Amino acid sequence: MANDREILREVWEGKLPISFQLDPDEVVELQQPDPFYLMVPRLSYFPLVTDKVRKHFLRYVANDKQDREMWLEYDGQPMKWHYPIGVLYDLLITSDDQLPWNITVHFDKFPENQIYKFSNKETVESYFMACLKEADVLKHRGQIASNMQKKDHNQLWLGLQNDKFDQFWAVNRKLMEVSQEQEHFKYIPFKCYLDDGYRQKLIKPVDEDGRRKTLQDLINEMFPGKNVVIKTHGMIPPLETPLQWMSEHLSYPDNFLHLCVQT
Amino acid sequence: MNRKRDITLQIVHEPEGTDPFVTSGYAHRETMSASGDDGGGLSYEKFLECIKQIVQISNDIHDGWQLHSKEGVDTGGYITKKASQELEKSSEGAKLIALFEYHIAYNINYGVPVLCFLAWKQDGSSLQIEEYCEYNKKFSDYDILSTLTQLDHPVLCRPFLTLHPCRTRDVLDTFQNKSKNPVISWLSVISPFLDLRLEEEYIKAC
Repeated sequence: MANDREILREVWEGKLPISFQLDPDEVVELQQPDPFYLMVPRLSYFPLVTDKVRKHFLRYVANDKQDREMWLEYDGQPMKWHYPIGVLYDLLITSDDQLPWNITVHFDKFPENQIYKFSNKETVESYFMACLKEADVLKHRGQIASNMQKKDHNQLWLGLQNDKFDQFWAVNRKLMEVSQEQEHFKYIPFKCYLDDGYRQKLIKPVDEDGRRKTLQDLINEMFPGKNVVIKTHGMIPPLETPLQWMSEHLSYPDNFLHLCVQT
Repeated sequence: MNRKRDITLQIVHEPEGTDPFVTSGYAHRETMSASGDDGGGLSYEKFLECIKQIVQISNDIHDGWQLHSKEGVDTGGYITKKASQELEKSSEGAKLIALFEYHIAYNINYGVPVLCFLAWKQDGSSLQIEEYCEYNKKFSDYDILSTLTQLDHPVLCRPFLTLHPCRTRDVLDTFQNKSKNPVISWLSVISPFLDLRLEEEYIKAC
C-alpha cells in the first residue's frame, strides 16, 4: 500500500522550467517570436501541456503549415513525447546548470514512424491507459484495472491532465493494493532506459526465500556484473531501496518505474 | 522564487523488526513469461519455436516472412513481412494501395505475441490510424482506440500500429494444448481484421 503520502506528494509536485523556441528556419515573419516559458509537471506528457505553445508560435509560420502537426526537438533529435516529461529530462539533461530546458518547436517535416502522432488528447489518453493496464497485468494479472468502472478510468485521466493529486490518488491507490496473503505485486512494472530505447524483464519483488528484493537486485538481474547508476525523478535512489516500496511510491502515473540507466 | 526543496529519501523500517513479507511455502523458478506460473499465455521459448516454423513454411512457399533478433534483448526474436494491399472505402468506393510491413513480436508483460505494422501510401507518406480505419470496416464496431492503437514495438521501442494484446491471452487459451503452433492459430483468428492473407500451408501446421 502506498503509505508514504509525503513522498507521493513530493513526486507529484515535481516541476521543470522550459523555454520553447520556434525553429528559426520556420519563421516567416520579419520578427523572431519570443521564447515561450512554461513550468511543466514532470509526471505529465508534452502533448498535454503544449496547447499554448502551439498557439503562441502558429502565427509566425507559413500559412500552408497552419494545420501541421507540431513536434519538439532537443539537441537535433525529435523528442519521444510518449515518455513522461521527467523521464525525457533525466535521459537528456546531465546537469541542472542547463536550466531552463531549451526545446525547439517545429511544424514542418513531422518525423513519421519515429515518434507518436498525438493529434488530440484522446490519443494520448489511449496510450496512457494502455500503459496503466499493462502495469496492472504485471502487478495483479490485470484484475484491478479491468474491474474498474469507466468513471474510475476517467478520474485517473482527468487527475493527471488537470494536475490534481487527490483526484488521481483516490483511484490509483487501488492499483497499488497488495493482497493479504502475498503483501507484494506479482511482478514489478519497470522500464530501464538505455541509449537505444528501453529494456523490460519479469522481476518479482521477493526472492525465492521470501526476502524482499532491492534496487541492487534489479540491477544484478538486468545488468549482471556491471556497475550502473539508476536515476529516476531526478534523483539516484539508494541501492538498498526495496523494489516493492519503489513501485508503490516512485512510479509515474502510468504505474511504471521509469529508470534511467547511466553507465 | 521558491527555494528548490531537497528530497531526502528515507527507508522507514518496521518498528517490530519483523520481515513483513511472508516466506513463500514453495520455491519456484523465474519464468520468461508472466503467464508461465499460472498456465495461460505463451512462453517466449514456445513463441520462438513457432515463428521459426512460420519462417520455414514461408521459405517453402516464398511468402516473405523473415526472422530477426536484437542483441541484448532476452525476448528479441521477431518476424517481419512486407505486402501490398488494396484498401477500399466502404461508403464511396474509393480505393487506396498501401505497402504494409507486418511484425510479429513477443510482449513480455502480457506473455503473448503481438501483431503490429507500419503502412505507407504510394506517395511515400505514412498511412495514419484514422485513415486506415476509414478503409477497414472491421474496426467500426469497436472502441477503436482500445483495439488498434499506437504502441511501442516490443523489441524496437518505436511506435507501430498494434492490435492491443490485452485479449490475446483469452484467444490463446481457447486452443491451449490443442494447437501445435499457437502463433499460427492466433494469427488465423486475427488476420481477417487486418486483411492479412494466411496461406493454407500455415493452417496445416497448427
